[in-house]
Amino acid sequence: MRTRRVLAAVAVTFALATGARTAGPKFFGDDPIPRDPETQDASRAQPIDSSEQFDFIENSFLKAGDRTAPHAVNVNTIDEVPDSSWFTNRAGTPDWTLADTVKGPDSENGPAEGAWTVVAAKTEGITPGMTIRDATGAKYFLKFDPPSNPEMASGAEVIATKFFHAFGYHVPENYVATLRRESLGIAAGTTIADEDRRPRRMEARDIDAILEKAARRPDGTYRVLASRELPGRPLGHFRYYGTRPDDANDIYPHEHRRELRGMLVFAAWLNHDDSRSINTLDTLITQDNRAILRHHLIDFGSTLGSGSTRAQSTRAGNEFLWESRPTLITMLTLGFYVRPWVKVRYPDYPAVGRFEANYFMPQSWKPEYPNPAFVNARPEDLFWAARIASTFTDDAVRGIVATARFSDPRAADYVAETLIHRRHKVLEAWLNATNPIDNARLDGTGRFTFENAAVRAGVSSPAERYVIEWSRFDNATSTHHRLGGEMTVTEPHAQAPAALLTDAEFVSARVRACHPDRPAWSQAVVVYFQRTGAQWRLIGLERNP
Amino acid sequence: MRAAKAGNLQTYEPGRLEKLLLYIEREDPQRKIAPWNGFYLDYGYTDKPLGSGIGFSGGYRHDLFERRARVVFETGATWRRYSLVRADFSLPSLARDHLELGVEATDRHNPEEDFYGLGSTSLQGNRVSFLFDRREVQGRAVVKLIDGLRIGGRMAWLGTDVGGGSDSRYPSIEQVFTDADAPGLDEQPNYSYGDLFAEFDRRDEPGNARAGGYYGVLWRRYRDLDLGRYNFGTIEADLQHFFPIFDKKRVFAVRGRVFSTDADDGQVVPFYFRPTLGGNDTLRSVRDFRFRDTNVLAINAEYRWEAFSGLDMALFADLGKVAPRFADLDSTDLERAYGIGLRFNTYKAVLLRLDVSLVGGESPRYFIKFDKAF
Repeated sequence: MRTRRVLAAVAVTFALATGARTAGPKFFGDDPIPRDPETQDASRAQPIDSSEQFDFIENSFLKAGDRTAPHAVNVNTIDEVPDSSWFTNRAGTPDWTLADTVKGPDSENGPAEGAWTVVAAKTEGITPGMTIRDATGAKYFLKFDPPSNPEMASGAEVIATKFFHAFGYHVPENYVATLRRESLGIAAGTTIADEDRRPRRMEARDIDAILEKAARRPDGTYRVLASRELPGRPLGHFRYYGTRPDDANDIYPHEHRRELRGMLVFAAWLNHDDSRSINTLDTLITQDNRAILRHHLIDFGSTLGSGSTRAQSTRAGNEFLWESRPTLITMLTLGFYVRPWVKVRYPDYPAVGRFEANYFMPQSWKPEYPNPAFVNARPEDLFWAARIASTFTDDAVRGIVATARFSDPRAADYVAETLIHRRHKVLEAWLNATNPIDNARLDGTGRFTFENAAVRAGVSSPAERYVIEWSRFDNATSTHHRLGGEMTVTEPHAQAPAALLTDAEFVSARVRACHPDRPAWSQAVVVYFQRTGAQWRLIGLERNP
Repeated sequence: MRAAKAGNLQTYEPGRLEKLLLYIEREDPQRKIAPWNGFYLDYGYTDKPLGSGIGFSGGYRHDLFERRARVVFETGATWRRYSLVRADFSLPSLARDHLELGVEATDRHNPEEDFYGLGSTSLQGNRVSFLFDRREVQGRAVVKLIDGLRIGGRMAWLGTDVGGGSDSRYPSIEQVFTDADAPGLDEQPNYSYGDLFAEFDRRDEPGNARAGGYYGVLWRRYRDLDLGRYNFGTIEADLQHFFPIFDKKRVFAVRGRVFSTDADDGQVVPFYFRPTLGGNDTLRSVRDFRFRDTNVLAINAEYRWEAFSGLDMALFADLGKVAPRFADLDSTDLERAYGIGLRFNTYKAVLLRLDVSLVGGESPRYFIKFDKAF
C-alpha cells in the first residue's frame, strides 16, 4: 500500500501521462482503503492569501496546473474516493438516509433566538454582510438577499449546501434565519472599515446602511443566510491545481483528485458557476490528536438561478468570462450574431432568479473560467460523480428544496422540477459517457452479477449484450492469465468458468457492453475479485484502464 | 511520500504577477493616493473642461461631525495650463438622507477655449482660442424625494473674465472676432444666477446604463450685476433612455438634449455662455465646441452590443444643430456623425472608450475617453 502510494505520487510529480506500469503486487492487504491515511501533522501550515484577479488570469490565460489528464490519482483500488480531509462518502453509502440528505451539515437550527451581537461587518463590496454572535455565543456570518430578488441567494445557498454536503464535500452549516433589527446590538469595540479601509468604531447607522441594501419583508424583518463559523483556524483558499507546499498530507495534485474533477458534474447540475478557488477554505483542525487541514467548499450564493446580488447572468454555465471565438464573431458581425444562450427565456420567479433545464447542456456547461480539475476530468471521473448524483431521488431533491423555505410554493416547485430535469440530463450525459457497469459481485458458486448504472437511473435502454473475458490474476506480478475466450451474455450476469475459480486467489473479469447508441459503453471495465474463504470479494475495479 | 514531504515543507511563495495583484487587492494603492478622507491626488479634476488636456488634482477632503458634514479643498491643473481652485462644504445627509445643503467656491482658469464663430455656418478655419476665467460662490439645496428623483436649486455669484487665448496653434480671439461677432468679448460683468433643477434617474447602472432612463431639466436665470446688458435665462433638457434586448447584451440607447438661452428684451446672451455642439458626447464628426449659438439640439442614438463581459461595441449616429431661435431647432440641415466605438467596461462603469466617426462633418475623427458617451 505504502509503496504504491509513493509510486503514485512520484508518478504524479513527473507527469503521469507516461502511462508506465510498475511491476509488483497490485493489491495489498488493506485494499480497498476506505480512508486516505493522512498521517502527517499540519500544524506548521500558514495562511495563504489568494488573489482573485490572479486566479482568473492564470486559469484563463496561463493554463495553470498539469493538463495532461492522467487517471485520477487518489482513488482506491475499486475506483472510489476514500474518505479524507477533502471528502467523505455520504450519498449512496448504505447507512445514508433521505433524512441525512435533507438535514445536511446542520448541527442545530441556526442562530438562537434572542439578542444577536454584531462583532464585524462590511458595508462595501459585492455582498455586504455582518458577523454576529447569537445568544449562545455561536458565531455566524450573515448574508442578505438583494431587494430585487428576495429569498433568492439565501435559498440557493441553503439548497446547494445540502447537496454538496450529501455529495461528500466539507461545507459550512448554512441556515435561513430571520433578523430583527431591534434584536441587533453592537459588541463593544467593534470596528468597521471606513471608505479608506481604516478601522473606525461601528455605529448603529452602519447596520442600517447594510440593511438598506437588503431585501426587507413586509413585517420589517430580514431573511438572512446565516453561515456558521467553520471550526478551526482559516488558512486560505485551496486551488484546483497543485498542492500546498506547507501541508505534508497534501500530496495529490488537486487537478488530479477525483472528487475535484468529478465536482464538474455537481457544479453543472446545480449551476455552480462560481466553483473556483475563491470559494474554498482550508481550516486547521485537530483530528485524532493531530492537526490536519480540512478543505471546504464555501459560498454557494452563485448557484441555481442566483448571482448573489442579482439574478444569475445568462452567461453563467454557458460561456467562460473570456472566450476569444464567440467574442470575435460577435465583434465582427456587429452583434448580429447572438449567442444562443442569450435567447433563453426564464420564468419570472424573483426567488429563483435564472435557472432552467430545457437549454441546459451538461457536456458544454462551464464555470466562470477554466477550472484545472474540471479540465482534466475523464469519463470515469464524471461517471463516479454521476453515480452519486443518481442516488438523489425526487423526494430527496424536493426535501432539500423545502429547506430553503421559499414563501412562494410555485418557486419551490419550479426549483425542484428544474433540478430533477437537470439531474436527468446530467445522468444521461455522464453515466453513458463510459461503460456504466457497477456493483459487480462474484459469489461462492461462481455466479457473476453486475448492474448497469445508466439503465438503473433510467437514462438508457439495456445493453444488447455484454462481452466478458476471464483471467486469473497473479497479484505478485500484476499479470493476467486469460482463461478461455470471450463470453457473451445478454443479461448482467454470467457464470464464471469453474476452471478459473479452482485454486485461484485472484480472478478478473474484463467486461464490455454493447449498445448501438452508446459507443462509449464498449470501453472496458476490469473487475478483480479476491478469494476470502468460500466467497469472493471485490478488490479492484478499473474503468477505462 | 507524505513523510518525505513532511521533511521538506515550504512556505507558499507567490510569483511576481501574483504578488503584484495581491498588493493591489490588499493595499488598494489608488485608494491610498486618493483616499476618501485626507490629502489626496487624483486624475483629472471636478468638471475639467473638454479639450483641456491631461490633468491632475490634489487637495484635502474629509468628513466632519461624525460623517454628517464634508469639506473638500481641491486644486487641479492640466498640461494646457487650465487650473481650478475649489472649496466645498456640504451637509449631505440631512432629514434622514433626504436633504443636502452645501456651499462651494471655485476659481477656474481656462486659457485655451475654442471658438469658431457663432451659428451653424461658422468656419473651421476661423478657429481661435480665448481665455475664460470664472470665479463663483454658490449655495445649493438638493432634495431627494424618492428613489432616483432629485430636485434642487442653487444661488450663486459669478465673476467672469474673457481674454486672448494662449493656444499657440490658433489665433487669439481678438485677432479674428469682435464684440459684434462674439457678444461679451470686450467687457464681462459679474453675474448672479439662480436655478432650479429636477432629475429622475432610473438607469440600472448610472456608470454604464443598459436599461432604464435619465430625465433631467435645468432652468437658470442669469443677472448682469454691472453692465445691464447680459440678463438672460437658460433651459436645458437631457433625456436618455436605454432599451435592452437579449438580457441587456444588446442595448439601443438614445439621448436627446436641448439647450436654449433666452435673453431679456434688449439684452444679449454672451458668447461664452452660449451652448455648443460638437465633440465626443454630442456630435462626433467634429471637434469639441465646433458650433455655438443660442440654441442647441443634439440627438444621439447608439446600438451597443456586448462582445464579452469586458467589452461593448457600438454603432452610433449623432444628429445636431445650432440655431439662433428655438423655433429653428427643427429637422432640417442637421449635422451628422456616424461611426463605431469600443467600450472597455465593467458592469458598473465604462473604463475606456474609443469612438471613431466615419461619416459626416469632419470625419474621420477619433475620441479616446475614460468615460461613457451617455
